[in-house]
Amino acid sequence: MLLSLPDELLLQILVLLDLPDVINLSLLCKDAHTLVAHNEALWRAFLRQKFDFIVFRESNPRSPPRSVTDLAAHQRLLSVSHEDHLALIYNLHHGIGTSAGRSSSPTISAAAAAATTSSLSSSSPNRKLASALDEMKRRFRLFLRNGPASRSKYAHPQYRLRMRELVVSYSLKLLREHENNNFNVLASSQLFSAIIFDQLLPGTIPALQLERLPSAAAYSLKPNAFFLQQRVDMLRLIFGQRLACSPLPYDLREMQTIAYDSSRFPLFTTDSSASTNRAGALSIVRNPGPRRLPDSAWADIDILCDSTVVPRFDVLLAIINFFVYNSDGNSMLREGFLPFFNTPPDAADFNFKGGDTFDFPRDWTGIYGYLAFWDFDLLRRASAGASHFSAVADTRFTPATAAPHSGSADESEVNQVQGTPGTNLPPTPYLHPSIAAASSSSSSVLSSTEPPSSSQTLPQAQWPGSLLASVENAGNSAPRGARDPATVKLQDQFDGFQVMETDVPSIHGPVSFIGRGRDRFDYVTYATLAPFDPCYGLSGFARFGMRKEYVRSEYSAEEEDEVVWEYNGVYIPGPKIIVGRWRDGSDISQTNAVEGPFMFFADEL
Amino acid sequence: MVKLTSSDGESFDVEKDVAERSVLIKNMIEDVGDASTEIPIPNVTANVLKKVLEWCEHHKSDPIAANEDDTDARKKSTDIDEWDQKFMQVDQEMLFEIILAANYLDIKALLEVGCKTVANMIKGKTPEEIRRTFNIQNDFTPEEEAQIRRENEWAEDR
Repeated sequence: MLLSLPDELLLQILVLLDLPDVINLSLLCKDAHTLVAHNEALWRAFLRQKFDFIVFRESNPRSPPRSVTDLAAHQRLLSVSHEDHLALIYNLHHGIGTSAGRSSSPTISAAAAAATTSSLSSSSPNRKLASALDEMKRRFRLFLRNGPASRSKYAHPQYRLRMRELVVSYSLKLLREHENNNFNVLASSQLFSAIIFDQLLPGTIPALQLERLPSAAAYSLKPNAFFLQQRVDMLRLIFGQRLACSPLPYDLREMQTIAYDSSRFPLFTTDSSASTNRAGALSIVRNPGPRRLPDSAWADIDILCDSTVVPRFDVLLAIINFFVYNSDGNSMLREGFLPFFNTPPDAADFNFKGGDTFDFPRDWTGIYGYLAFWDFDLLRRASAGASHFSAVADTRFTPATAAPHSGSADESEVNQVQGTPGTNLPPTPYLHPSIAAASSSSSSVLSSTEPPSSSQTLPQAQWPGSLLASVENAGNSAPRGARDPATVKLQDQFDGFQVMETDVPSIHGPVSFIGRGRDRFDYVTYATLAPFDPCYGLSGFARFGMRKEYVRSEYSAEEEDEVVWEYNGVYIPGPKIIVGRWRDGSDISQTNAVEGPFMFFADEL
Repeated sequence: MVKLTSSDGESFDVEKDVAERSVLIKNMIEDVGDASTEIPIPNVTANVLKKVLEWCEHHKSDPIAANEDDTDARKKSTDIDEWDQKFMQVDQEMLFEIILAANYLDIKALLEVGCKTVANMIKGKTPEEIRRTFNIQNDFTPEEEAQIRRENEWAEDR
């Protein structure tokens, strides 16, 4: 009788359940499993409930969004660590995901976290820092020894929903805690790195998550050399992470600014005439704004004193290697990043100096997350009314001074987000020039398809025509190349690629290769791997850049626009995963592009 | 008074404000413009309609939510007030009939109570206990069940 109820009534019952109960239902019988496991509406409803609970009073989407003041009153929601914050979100419905089981009481965990922080701050700063770094290295090695990630776990279709949920929850978190309810470019710059390094990779370091590099004031006026060196190391890690994950190099190229700190002022620039300070090989623009700090305290910019956005130091060790150690000193920024803005750089530009040879897996499966227009709309609503100056406004969002959103779908805003795809494609970072030649030389592999051509037009991802449709789309990959998301089934969704070369790349230097895959249609991928030099004795990491294009012949003539997805990330050899950021490479404006984190798993496991 | 006729031909004389807990009936009364007209309820049998009307009678003074979203918070809880709990202490067949009738008659509050009752029958139970509760036959092979459990690994603590 239960299972014979109409779907809408069953859904109404299911959303009242907690996740473990829903999972149990899927084990009842085949009908129940079909009902639960592939019920996108059910999973969307779960997600929506969590989202609404955080943003709106009484979880009512038509209520005014919570203000910063309101949120401050909700200490349970705010005064918790990353982990507990997620635990709280998950526990709202008794847990999707990792944190729920670990921390059933966010309040208690927050108190414990505060106690830990207090304890840490009372110890010797130098010892604390050294200890943290040692622990970081130790854990990193453990992390690498853990072996391949469990693909069966992460490749499950529902995990995509979880990744998406992380995107949404982090957006909100950053919106509240960093942006004073004004979700803008800063939040988006931190969002994906935070997700990738804090949540998607296993083996986080709770102690470091609570860690914050103490301000200079916490030390003696004459900090010793040891401390300064450690501080520089930490800076490199953090800056490297920012550079690796920030979408800003694309968004702000006209300003020649490639990263911002959380004080909203440029940290890195490619403009050599700018007033700069130096830290290792990085050029750092002094904070020029009203919050400018004394020169001696340049390291105390927010990113170092920010206890909320905490990078995964262990993985960053490899990333920063690329930016600091794997470069020719000062030339790194000039030669490594300027080409981003002009032409795709030759992989040789990465100044590879040699390192261990490693085999790159042939088959890859991926998942990814993104903010749908629906989320943008909600974020705009949440930011409406907040008055907050932003040095760099993110054009994807309504300015903070905009009138509060009415709560209904606003077509003009949706259109603003959607933008218009351009005809000229943006440069693809890390795309080796030899790719073009490789593409033509591999025409036999592509014999059944028509090689892509920039002069031809490929279908543009068809975004839902309404916010409702966008909501319908949440949690699957339909926006990415699907013409009619409503008709796309989860099992049709695929991301990843198979390396086309007969021999799987054995990587001992920069290498480019072609891959292929199919979701709704066949696509071709052009990728470059640029290994990092060993860092702290660790090797096997590589910068990963990939461009995904659909094969034109698969589309009907009615599709006119182009679909190009760009991926930038880091190959991590231990678990054999690639993490990074994907974006819509067909949006020449670089401001309306769809983007989000991705994670690829080696399929050979 | 309003006269309602069940699918099996039994008539019920009901106070208008009681009957109008049902949006469907309310609209029908407005459509016909004459409360004395007999209103057929073709999808609901007499015993179920009687039960539904009993609920409507008890809740006739409840404020009607201004809009659906106002009740979101209430919906998300599975708490049920004491009278409704007793009201829902019926056999499963009747429970599901009430849910279907509430859905058909568009009585949101009753539908919520019914859904919450079923949800509470599921919560905290093992798959086997749920099967017993709802008399569901396990048609998985051991291999299939193992596969499903693997599929669900993502939701487990890691």
